[in-house]
Amino acid sequence: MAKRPPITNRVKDLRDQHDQMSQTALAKEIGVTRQTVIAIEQGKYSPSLESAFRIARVFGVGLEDVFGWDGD
Amino acid sequence: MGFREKLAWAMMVIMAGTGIVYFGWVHMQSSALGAWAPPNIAFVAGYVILVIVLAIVAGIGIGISRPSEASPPMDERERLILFAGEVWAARLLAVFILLTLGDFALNQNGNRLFHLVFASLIVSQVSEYVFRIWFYRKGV
Repeated sequence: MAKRPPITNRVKDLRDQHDQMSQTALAKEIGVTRQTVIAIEQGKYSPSLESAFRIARVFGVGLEDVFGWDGD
Repeated sequence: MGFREKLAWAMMVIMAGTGIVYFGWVHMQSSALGAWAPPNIAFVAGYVILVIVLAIVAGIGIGISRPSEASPPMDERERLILFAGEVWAARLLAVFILLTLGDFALNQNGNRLFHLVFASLIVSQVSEYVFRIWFYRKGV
């Protein structure tokens, strides 16, 4: 139950690189709540493929520039 | 803490609090009778109305404190948390119902059966909010 997914992400770094974009602004762009952006950044939640693509598109980068695999 | 997590906390407190009041009454009645009190439909209806009123008051109160967070529909994570909470609570309910059926098979007491089933429903509902809060805090 509530096992942490082996997925890393650079969402916070990318927000910082994009004029310190706020979590609220990113949440609005991808259509989720601010709490979900926080959970993604903390690695407590792996977004759906659709949201992952939306995040990558907001920052103008590829999916693998945002998310990484940290498992076997 | 988001709107729906706050609501889950409020509902957990409401369900647990009203459940304690309800079963306090059952205990009092049963002690006076010297046996399990028969179900009192008026009291059950009062309990249900009280829960509904408190839930509405809590929802409005929390919504007023952060109106911007209260209106959007659930996002994908919140839907997953809701689903996971329901699944675990349903499993717990199934266990309680099996135990209650076992108790009835041994004791053949219909009044006790009613109260145990009602308690199972309340505990299961409280557990659903506990699971939701857990998933909100620890991840899903």
